[in-house]
Amino acid sequence: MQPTVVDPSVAWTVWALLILGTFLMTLIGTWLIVRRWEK
Amino acid sequence: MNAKFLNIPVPTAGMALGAVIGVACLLTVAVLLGALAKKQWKSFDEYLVGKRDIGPWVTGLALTGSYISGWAFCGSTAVVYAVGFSGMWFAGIWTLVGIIPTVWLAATKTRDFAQKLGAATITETIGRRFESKGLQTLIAVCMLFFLFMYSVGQLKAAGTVWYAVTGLPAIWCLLIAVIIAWLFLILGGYMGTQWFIAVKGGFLGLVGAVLGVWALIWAGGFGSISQALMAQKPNLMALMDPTLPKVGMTQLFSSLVGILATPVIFFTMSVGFPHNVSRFLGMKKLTRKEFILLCFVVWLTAGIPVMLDCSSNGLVARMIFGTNLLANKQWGADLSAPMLAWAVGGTGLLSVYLTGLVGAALGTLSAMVFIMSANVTRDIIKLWAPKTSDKSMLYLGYFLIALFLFLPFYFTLKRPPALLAVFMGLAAMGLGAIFVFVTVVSYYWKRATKVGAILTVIYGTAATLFGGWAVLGRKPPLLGMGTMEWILIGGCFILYFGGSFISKPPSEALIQKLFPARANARSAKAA
Repeated sequence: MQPTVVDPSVAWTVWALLILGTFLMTLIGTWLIVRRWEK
Repeated sequence: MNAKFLNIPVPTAGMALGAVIGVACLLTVAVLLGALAKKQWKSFDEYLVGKRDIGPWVTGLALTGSYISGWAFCGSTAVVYAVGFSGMWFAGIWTLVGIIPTVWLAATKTRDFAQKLGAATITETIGRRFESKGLQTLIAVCMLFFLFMYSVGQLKAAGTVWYAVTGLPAIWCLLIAVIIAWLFLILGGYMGTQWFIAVKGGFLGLVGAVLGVWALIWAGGFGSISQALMAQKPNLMALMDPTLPKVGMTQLFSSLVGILATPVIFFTMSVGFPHNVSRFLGMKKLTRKEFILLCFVVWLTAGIPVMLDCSSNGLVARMIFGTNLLANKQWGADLSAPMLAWAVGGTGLLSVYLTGLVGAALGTLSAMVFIMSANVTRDIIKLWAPKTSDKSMLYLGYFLIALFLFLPFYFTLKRPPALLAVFMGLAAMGLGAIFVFVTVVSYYWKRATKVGAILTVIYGTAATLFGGWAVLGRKPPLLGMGTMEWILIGGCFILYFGGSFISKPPSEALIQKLFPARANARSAKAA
């Protein structure tokens, strides 16, 4: 079996994208809901 | 023990004193909130749901508090400490993918449905949504079963860490904590629980964020963590570790099938947990600004703190302690989070962390116990014997709360039966898979019927029991936990929609009442 090649910068990049992505998800999703909010 | 790394410290008088003071403050606040909330209710209905006037701050913090259990606060760090970066998928990096959609999908609908249907519990809301007393009873029994299994392990992390850190027997700390929980639950009812969980949610958010950021700075940033862990074992920095077994729980770290299941697990657990959705029963009707505030509060307190807690904290703990914690057969990786707090912040941060952990366990347990008690009183007895007096229901509720608090306490001191321990592991997944459909999808899909809901409940319960055996009970495991999640969620999906399509739709009167906009649009189209 080939030894796994690990690049820590890939892991941290994915980690940062998850934090940023979920922040954007919160922002965009909330905006989509409130723009149709009943008065 | 490896001398290159730190070891578990011997408990000192300072550690014990700090922990005792912290937990004493927490429990005092709990009793005060219970006593204050006593003035907020006058009837059995108000005891169960308050006056439906709670604002976005308390509701948002209470949702965070009910979702972040002892496991989320402590166990998530332990997973990453033990297996490295690949553990973050299961440890809670997807928390926001669950908890924010819970607000979007369930907040206003739960409040509106419960109010329109005159329901005081989630079970009653579902029973009336499907116009079925039989379904309400089935759901009450199912919820009781799953919440009982899930509640049994709630105090374990707090008890373990308390003993390891203070050297004092956990029995007294936990006994006093459950007595206090009983007091604030019977005094304050729904309002008392909501207030206590909200305070706990805010505190956990703060402690989690402080510890997470502090640990990252203390470790010297991302580069230093990577360097230290690569020197220990390069796979600790891998996003997927194929060297781990692809069956059992480690499938969630070792294969794509397992990793892809993790966001689904977190979504269904958060949206489906009755003790999460119940936080909206007593909420006021929100304005647009208040809804934005609710989303912001949940993001702030459950987002960043948990994300750090379930990723970088475990890595920094591994950097500091190496495998020394794993070498401890008694407590193992469970100590990674409190030991991290001690290593980076000394006795002070350790005391604050331990207070948060006891609060995390007690708050989530209280939210579950309150629902379990109402499952029996309101959702079964009052449903079939409506003439039973409210006073009798209240007194029976007080007794049941004591019973349901005592059992997790007992099983923390004494090992739970082997069968119960196996099923506990999958209870959260089963609860989420069933109730994401039966509760939240039913708010939006008016064609959903009681046949679909009943089939989902029966299948979900049976599949969870099978999964407990196949993933955790059998040696070696038959299936991976991720595969089991797909089996659970796929089966519930097919039966919920299939069962609804082949059965008679709900009555027109119910649709007019619960889905007025869509019903009117259909009438206009027909005209």
